[in-house]
Amino acid sequence: MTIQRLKIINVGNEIGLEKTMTFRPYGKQAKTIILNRINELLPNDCLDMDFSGIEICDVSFVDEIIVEVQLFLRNNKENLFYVSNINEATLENLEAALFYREKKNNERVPILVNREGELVVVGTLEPNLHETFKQLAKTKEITARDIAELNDIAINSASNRLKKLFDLRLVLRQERITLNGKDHIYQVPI
Amino acid sequence: MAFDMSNITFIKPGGAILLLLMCKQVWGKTLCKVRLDNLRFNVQSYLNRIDFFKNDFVYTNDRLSLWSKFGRNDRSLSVIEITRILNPMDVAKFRETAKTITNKWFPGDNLKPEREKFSTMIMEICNNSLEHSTGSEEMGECYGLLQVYSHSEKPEISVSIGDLGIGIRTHLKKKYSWVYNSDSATIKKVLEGLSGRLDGTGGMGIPFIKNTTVELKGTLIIRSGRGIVSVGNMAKTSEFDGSFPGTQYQIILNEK
Repeated sequence: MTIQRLKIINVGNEIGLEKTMTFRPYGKQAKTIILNRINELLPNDCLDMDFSGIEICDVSFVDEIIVEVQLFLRNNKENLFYVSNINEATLENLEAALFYREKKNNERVPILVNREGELVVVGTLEPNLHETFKQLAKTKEITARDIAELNDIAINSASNRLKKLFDLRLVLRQERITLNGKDHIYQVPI
Repeated sequence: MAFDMSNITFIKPGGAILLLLMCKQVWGKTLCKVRLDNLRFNVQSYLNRIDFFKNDFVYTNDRLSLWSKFGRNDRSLSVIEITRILNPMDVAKFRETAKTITNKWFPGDNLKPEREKFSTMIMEICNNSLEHSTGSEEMGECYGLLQVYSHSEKPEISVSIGDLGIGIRTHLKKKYSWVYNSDSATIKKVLEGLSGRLDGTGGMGIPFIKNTTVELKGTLIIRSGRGIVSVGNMAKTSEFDGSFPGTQYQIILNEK
């Protein structure tokens, strides 16, 4: 697993913006640049969307470059991305975008955010999935068997929880061949 | 063409932007500059202070007092003069100046989230005008004006942004087979999240502005076509007999 860094300020510069990211049509252009970068990722690579130097992204802009990108990944790729060095104002606008998505389209799009070296989930996530995510974040990689043992639940339930996290592109999944056959190992990048 | 201004005793940002848009509309239709006559001293001083007459479609022959000419403080952090906004870079600049002003009048870390939300609201409004007011792929334009009133213990900030575009209802009519006959009913629907963007990504900006205004206990006024809807402190809905092009927003916030 490799982490590729993408500085959002450089993406903004490409479309003529500086530290203020605003205007949805420009957000769509920025999204295209980000998706091109994502399409170059190898399987299991991660993208670190680095917001350092960005003073603010408005609600529509974050909706394009974060929420829409996450939806693209869910449907097309098995990579994941997380957001780092995002300031409080832009984070609030991200939360607002997620709120309006859910309210309007009944669409839950949780996003990974790197907060001081720790990955946290922003947006709505079922409590049991959140708990599973936290257990995985602690160990960096985990299997369904581990989750089953930790929570005293059936291995199928554990497997379902991890698969749901993977489907939401909050964790990576790798197939592994063991003496007992195939299984999956789930990982987070940091 | 001349407007008799003798009945106008006071003018606030919302009024100034509407007056400017009216002048521009007349100029656009007649190619004649609009003259403002019989301006009261304070109205003329204010229009001068906000660079109203720097727009080449409007002028006055009324003479400005020396006091108004020399008493002007260009570095005052109470006003952003009438600003023509043509692209997102202009939006960013307008927002940055607004932020400097709010930092001065609403200081402190505890008010930082409110200041940021206010600046995001300004961006969302301007961007709506740029993106939707022409009814085509072409980028629109708008005018913005911000004023802080500090006459009481708690300052009040008022920002008005307006365009002469196709208006909310006409914009939506291009997208949907049904649309209300009433402008105010359409504005209300937009406040709830109805959007002309049909790919599911729209309908965030205006509800964000509405909800944030309510959260900050302010007032938001939207005028488009014949309709006017205000939410927050002075919630009401009206429909006028006459229609005027474009859309105009006004936000008024006080420190609570």
